[in-house]
Amino acid sequence: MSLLRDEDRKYLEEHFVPVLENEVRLRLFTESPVRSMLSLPGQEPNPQAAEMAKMTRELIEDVASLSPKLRLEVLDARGDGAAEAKRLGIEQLPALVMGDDEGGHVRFYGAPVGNEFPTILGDIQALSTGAVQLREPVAAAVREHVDQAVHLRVFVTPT
Amino acid sequence: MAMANPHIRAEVVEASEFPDMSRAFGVMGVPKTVINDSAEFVGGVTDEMFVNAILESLGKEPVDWAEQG
Repeated sequence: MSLLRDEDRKYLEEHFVPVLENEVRLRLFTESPVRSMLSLPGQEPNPQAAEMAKMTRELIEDVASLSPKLRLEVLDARGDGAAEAKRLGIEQLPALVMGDDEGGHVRFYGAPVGNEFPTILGDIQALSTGAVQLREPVAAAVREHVDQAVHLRVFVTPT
Repeated sequence: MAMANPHIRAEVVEASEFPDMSRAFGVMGVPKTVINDSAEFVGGVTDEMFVNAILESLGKEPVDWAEQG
């Protein structure tokens, strides 16, 4: 079943897909639904997380199916994707890493639903076109003055 | 920001899905932005203020945007 309604899909096909230029790599770190139902040492069962993980996966698969320029990899962060998740310092699941850069600098933790859905579409579009979503004097300041690691965490809630 | 400069890693966290993490960062309202796990602000700010918050957290001089024209 698709999480995108037909009208949403149509809207995205008309307004999102045509503006994509370059290929965008999407890495979705998740865990198997079975595993999140289990009690494991150091891990409580979390049926809600399993539901969120499933929904996120379906939604991102829907988005990726819109264009061959969107290259989705789904990785089990506690299975075959564990080494990569550790390398990137993935702290929560599900995690969507957008873009192909070595450090995975643009990420979303959780289900990108509600008003967070346009956020990830905007990020994907910006990565595809190379158009930074900042006015030029601000982008220039970011390029020139930030010369060491900065870790931004932006906490949001979908409404 | 993260697309303009590879030194910057930007994470959006859906706060209600990760209550432990939200508690650890004292999230009472959203959007809440935490810079290098130390400096923080709540609410929306202009891009100019955001950049200056980053620079100040790095111990750098903020940009005087009036001079930038």
